[in-house]
Amino acid sequence: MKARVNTCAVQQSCLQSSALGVLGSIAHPVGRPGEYSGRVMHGKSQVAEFSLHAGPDVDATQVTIDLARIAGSPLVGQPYKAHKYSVNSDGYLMLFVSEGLGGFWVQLSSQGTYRSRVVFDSRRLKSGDLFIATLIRPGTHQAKMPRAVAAIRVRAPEASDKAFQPPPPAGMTCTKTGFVPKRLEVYATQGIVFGFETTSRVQIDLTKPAPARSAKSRRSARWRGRPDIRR
Amino acid sequence: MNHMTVAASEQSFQAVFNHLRDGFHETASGGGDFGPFSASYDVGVRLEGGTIDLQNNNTVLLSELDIVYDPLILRLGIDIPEICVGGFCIIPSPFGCILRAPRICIFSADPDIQIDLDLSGLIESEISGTFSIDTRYFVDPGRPAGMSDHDAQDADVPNKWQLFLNPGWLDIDLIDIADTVGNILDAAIDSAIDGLLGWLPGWVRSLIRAILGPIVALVRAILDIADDIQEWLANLLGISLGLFNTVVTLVADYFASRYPFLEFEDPIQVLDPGVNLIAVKVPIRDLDVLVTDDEMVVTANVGA
Amino acid sequence: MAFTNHCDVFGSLHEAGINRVVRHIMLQRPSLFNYGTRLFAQQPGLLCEKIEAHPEVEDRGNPILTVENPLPVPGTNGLYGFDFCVQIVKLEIDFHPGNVFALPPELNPPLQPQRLALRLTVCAAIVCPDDRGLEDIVKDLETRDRDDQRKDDEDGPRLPPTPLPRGKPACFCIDVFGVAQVTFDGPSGSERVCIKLVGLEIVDVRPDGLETSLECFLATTLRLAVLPRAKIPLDFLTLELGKYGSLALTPTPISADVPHNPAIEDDQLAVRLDLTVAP
Repeated sequence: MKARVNTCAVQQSCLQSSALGVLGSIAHPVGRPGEYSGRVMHGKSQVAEFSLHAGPDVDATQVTIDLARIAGSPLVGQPYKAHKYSVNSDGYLMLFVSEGLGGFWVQLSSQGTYRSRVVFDSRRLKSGDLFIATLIRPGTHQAKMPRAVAAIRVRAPEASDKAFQPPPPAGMTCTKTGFVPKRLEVYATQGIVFGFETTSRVQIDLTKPAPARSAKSRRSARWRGRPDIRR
Repeated sequence: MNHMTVAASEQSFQAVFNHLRDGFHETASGGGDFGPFSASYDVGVRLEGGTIDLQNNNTVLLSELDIVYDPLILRLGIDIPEICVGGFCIIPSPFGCILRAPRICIFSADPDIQIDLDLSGLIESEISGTFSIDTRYFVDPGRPAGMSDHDAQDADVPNKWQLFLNPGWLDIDLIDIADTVGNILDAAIDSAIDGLLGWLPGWVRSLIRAILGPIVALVRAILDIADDIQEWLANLLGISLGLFNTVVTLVADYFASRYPFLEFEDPIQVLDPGVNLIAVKVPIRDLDVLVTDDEMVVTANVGA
Repeated sequence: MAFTNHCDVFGSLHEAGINRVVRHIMLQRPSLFNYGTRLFAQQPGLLCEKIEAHPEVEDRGNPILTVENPLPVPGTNGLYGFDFCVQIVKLEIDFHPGNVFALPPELNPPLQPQRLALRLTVCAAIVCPDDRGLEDIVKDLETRDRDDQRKDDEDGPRLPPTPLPRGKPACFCIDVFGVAQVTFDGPSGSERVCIKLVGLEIVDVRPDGLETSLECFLATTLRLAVLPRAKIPLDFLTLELGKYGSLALTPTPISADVPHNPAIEDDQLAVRLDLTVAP
């Protein structure tokens, strides 16, 4: 018996939209039909590339790319695009990291007749983009954007008779004047969706972890004896 | 007219049976995969009690032979679900979710958690059945052809007459499973989870436990235990794992072919050996057995 | 009526069976039934009846007869003796009611309840010395009389008698009848059935005193030498039932329900045993 723990998820104390890691993801609306190419970067190095076809005839409203998975592909660096995706032109490109240290950013370029043009850079999120953070460590976190901060309190789920189901995601907006709201309280594993009214980036740091409670669950099952069992 | 007649009363037969019964100590193991969980067992079985009733139709009725499970270890392998976060809908619509957050798994156990339950002494069951008496002449396979009877005795490979209890039918009844088995399972589950999570930071353990919910209820759901754990356990051991069939087979095989209840060498010794004197041995022929209400009667002839 | 109505274990042996058992004992333990001096051991061809023995007896070097000292010649102070042999060549047993052979009148037929009858054929011989050899012995004895008498009187004869010079064995055979009863013998838990001679009769030997003396000789030989070594173990009579099941079996006590134990009735020997459960 072996337990597998996503240690990066468990140990992560900082989430950045500009360097995606586990528990953070970015949704970008494609907006226009066309052919796009994407570069997956890690720091200054390109670690993968992909092509994206967006068209009104495609049913999928979302294409989800695991940057950690394609970054490990042996096809990285090949001149021809090996990862191909399709999405409805009104749909979204969802970028996330399933495991590992993270630190990825992505540029998406439209392929014009004569030249390509960068239409999306995950280091600078704009209106319409979404940054989704899932905080799991109970305690006090601080969300930061250039010249603004917000406090996020993450509560540990209460022990109960039922399995914990997180509430729907909470929302926070990045505006020119800062975060709205400036304080947020969520449960661990409850998502936070950051919308953008201004071009920005978001970083969330754990500032004060909450003390751990007793790990034992409360026994709620009782077994009653039934006499006279006969086959 | 037979040369020799030996009769044993029902009480004597019971005493012989008790001696045979007390020599029974067998082990067995088994297991199976049942989808979300697997189960296996290791069992040691002894016999106690049991009442012999000689029947007029040349059979022996055995009643209420207690099966003692000592030990009985039941091992359950359970797939704990992966614990993942995310996967929630970001942009819902009347037609479904337009944008959904990716699902990220933070914890899984590969392949199972293992719960060991010591059920020794907690399960009571009984065997009843009828036996006929089988008469066999045993020639030791290690005895070379042409070896004399005295040489065979010295080499411990003599021929033998043997009487076995041959089962006609055997029925095993599950009488009771102790009430405490539920608490034992409860404690074993907690212990297994503690072992699985114990090395993780406290907040992670709390989070995982909260997400999993009450562990015992979760495991109960995985094992498909409803309200009655005794009935569940009876079905698991009896039907799914076939433990009781295995026990019946062990008992039947023991009495029918492994251990005779009466055995003597042929030829049988009449006078002990002395200094420079061989033992005097007499051949026995035509051994036969009759069972009546009162006694078991063995007849034989002295060979020429 | 069940065999075990008044006991836990019952064992019986029919007279046809016991006569087969006797035959096997005679073949496998011939020295129990044949006695003689070393002359007959070394030259079994001189025996009155050829000894039939199981092959294993010869293969393992068992004696076919029990070697005895020569019979002292009276008046020789034990210095000289007769070579002799005594053989029980046939032995038959008849349980009550006697229906295999008839008893002689001297044994008060019919066979009484709880008795068994024996019919034996006994052959015997002494080796009568030849005349020439005897003359040499006479001279030797005269010499010894003058020089060694006082010494022999003080010390007694120290060696077995020297066999008389070889002559021819003078064989004869006689029919012998006996009546016996059976009892248990031996320590508790290891009892055996033993045969105790009640009476013996040799048919038609005259004068009566000679017959009586011979009867005494044979009866004493049977009582001291043969019967004590031919006891029947209970394990045999119960086909080792108690032995294999670790049962402690002891003879059922005599009572109104069990007036005789062991019993001889209906042409068979029967034993009744009670079970004591071992701790």
